[in-house]
Amino acid sequence: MKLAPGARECARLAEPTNIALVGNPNSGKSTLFNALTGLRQKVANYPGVTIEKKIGVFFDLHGRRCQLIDLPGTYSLLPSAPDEEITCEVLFGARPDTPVPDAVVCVVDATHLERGLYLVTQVLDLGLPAIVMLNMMDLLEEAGDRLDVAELAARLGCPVIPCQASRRKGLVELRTALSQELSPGRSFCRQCPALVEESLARVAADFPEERAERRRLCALILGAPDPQRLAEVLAVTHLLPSLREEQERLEAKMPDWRQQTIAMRQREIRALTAEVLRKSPVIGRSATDRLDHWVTHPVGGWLIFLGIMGTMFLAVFEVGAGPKDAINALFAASAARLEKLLPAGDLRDLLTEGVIGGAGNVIVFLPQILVLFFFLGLLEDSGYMARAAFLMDKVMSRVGLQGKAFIPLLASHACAIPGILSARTLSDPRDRMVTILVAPFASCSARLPVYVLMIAAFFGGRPGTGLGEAGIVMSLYLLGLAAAFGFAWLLKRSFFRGRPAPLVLELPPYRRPSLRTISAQMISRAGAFLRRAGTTIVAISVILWWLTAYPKVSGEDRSAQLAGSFAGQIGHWIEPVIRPLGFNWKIGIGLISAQAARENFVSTLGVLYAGQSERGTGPTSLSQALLADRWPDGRPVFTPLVCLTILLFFVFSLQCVSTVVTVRRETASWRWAFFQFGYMTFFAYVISLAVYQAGRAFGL
Amino acid sequence: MSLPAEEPMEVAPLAFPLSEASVGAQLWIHSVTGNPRECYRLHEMGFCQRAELVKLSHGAMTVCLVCGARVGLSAAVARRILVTSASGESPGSDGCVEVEPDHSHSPGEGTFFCRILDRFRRRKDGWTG
Repeated sequence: MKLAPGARECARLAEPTNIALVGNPNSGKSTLFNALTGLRQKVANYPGVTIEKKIGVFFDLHGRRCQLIDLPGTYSLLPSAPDEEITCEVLFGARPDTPVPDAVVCVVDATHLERGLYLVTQVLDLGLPAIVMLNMMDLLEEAGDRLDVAELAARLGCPVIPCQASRRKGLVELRTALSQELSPGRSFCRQCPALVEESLARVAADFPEERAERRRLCALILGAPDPQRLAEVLAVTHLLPSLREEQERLEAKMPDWRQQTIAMRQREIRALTAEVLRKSPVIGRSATDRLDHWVTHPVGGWLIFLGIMGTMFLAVFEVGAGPKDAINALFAASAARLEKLLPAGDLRDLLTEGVIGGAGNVIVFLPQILVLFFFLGLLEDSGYMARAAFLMDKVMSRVGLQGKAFIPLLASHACAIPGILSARTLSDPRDRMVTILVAPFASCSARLPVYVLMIAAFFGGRPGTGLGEAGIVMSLYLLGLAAAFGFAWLLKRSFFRGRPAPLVLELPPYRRPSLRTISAQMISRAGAFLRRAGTTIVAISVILWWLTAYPKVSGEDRSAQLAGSFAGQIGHWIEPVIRPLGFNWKIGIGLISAQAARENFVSTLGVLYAGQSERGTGPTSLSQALLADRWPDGRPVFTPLVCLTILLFFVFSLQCVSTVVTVRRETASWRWAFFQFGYMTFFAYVISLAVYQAGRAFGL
Repeated sequence: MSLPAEEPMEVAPLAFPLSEASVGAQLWIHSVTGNPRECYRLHEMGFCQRAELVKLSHGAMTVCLVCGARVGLSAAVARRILVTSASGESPGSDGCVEVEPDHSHSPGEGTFFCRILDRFRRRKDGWTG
């Protein structure tokens, strides 16, 4: 079918231009992505924040739709970790779910020009139209350095745009450049040692005609220490024998040929950098260096780390307590109002006991969770995360992991899922697997409501001292980390034997954390928490309320109604399994509902104990209701020992369906997902059993 | 960054591990040892033969300035990067930077604790210098 010229133009405009956003880790790609598309991808000041591709849309100056693909950071087109593989596959056009980019925007941290240009020259070698965005120009100028942008553009043969993505500077220039016709990139570095050139010519000759455009990648595949994976990605596995033959030939004649090839490129880049960049002649020890002196000190570093953690947990209780009580009062007033407004019956019970007693009891913890996220945001945005990885490297290497694996563990304190996903930044597949399998030991924010409730019960329902509560919570978090290290040690000595990969990490300079970035993350987290409370937790609370309300038992006694209800019957059925831990059937029902999400434990107890406290809702009243519960022989159920046992069970068990599904996706196997669920639950049970029985033996 | 002479560095009797270099020292990279994959990535990050680096600090990690970027290395990696001193070169020429040395962490010149720790490290590594 022939289209009229106008229609053809419309069709051309309707087809989006695909633009890939690449660059070194922590060069500001996601900040630029957010500035261009208006989306809110997570940004932070440490390498490895973006671990999968994200797509957003913006329009160039001609109104043409541009599809921007934000890619994980990489130093080279030869990937060394799964996140870098994604970037390379997209650039090579080897991902079926992503279109081949029409152009590439290379984001370079202007303060690390020489480092950034290595990847830029590799991208230019691909022959794709490219634009170089020199981000963080303000920091370069602050340091007193001067950069000849025009000369750099002339030497690279592509547009070079200075920008400051965080302040949206340089975006108009980028849109303008994208509106113009971009010419394919031309190789900047053509020189290789003569012997390597000869080998390249021989390998290139073997490339099939239909894949001629990929001949440019010969140097990359030839240089790869293990070319198998790259050859598979590029669908040239038939070249593997000749590639290996050439590699062996080069090894024999020139043992350091790989290093020489890289060095030649770097020498050219160094010469170019020296030409275009006038550095301030004297650099003193920067504030970052002076801070690093203390932050990474073998003793001082640990004190600072523990001080930060202690302050964080203290703030969770001290700062979060006021707003928590306010929300608590709001829910209590709502429940009281509903009780007055509605006639007695199922609808009133459903709303007051099911919805408010269930979801309301979880929502009251939102302020404390937000305080936790605020502190995690400060750590991420200040540049501390990379230092923490180094501080932990010695401990991590003792258990067989690299220090970088601590970043996923630290990220798991917000939620295990992003923590597990960020294990993609680990180059060693065994380290990655072990990190995934132990990451849920890090206490996530969903455990916080359980901890706070049980600590309140532990202190006999009286408000404890902030310091004491913070101390217990911090101990629980450290206990989770200790379990993660212990099991990592075990796994590295059994299923995943191997030396830990060495830790090499670019250190970002310390920056004043951006309150805008942190608050955006807090809003996003709060939204996710409230959505979960408003959907999953409300749904489970309503189901649970129904299970406690039916079948109806004659009489007014609520205990008899509960015991005779479906929930009571199920609870009594599982009681023999949990009784040795000191748990009654209500706790057992809580544990079952917590399998969907840990917060459900609190909402479940809220529903089961509704009407048994002085006020219907709220954690203080709920903890009082828990303390009022008795075994048939009159002993209290929630003794300090039982509270401690519940806390330990929650520290060690994996109760999150989403985490299990994520582990399955990341490991591509249900086997490992179930193994993780099984071993964590079993360990939690054994530890809880041991502690409870030992406590009983000592008369606690 | 200035470039050293182009002749191959086949004999380097003065090469020593980066972990042993003093803070503030300007150094040339002599070689990187380890498995090929790890070495390849280190080369790509700028740790190539004859590249210049400046050691900025050592503590829980060794921090050095290479290719204009601050890179942290674990103690194990710092031991595998062999360097030679670049003190003979004229500093400040051809984009080369001058860095104020931080003597507080130089072996034998730091705090009491650092001296003890340094001695312990050397003994553990079998270093008898």
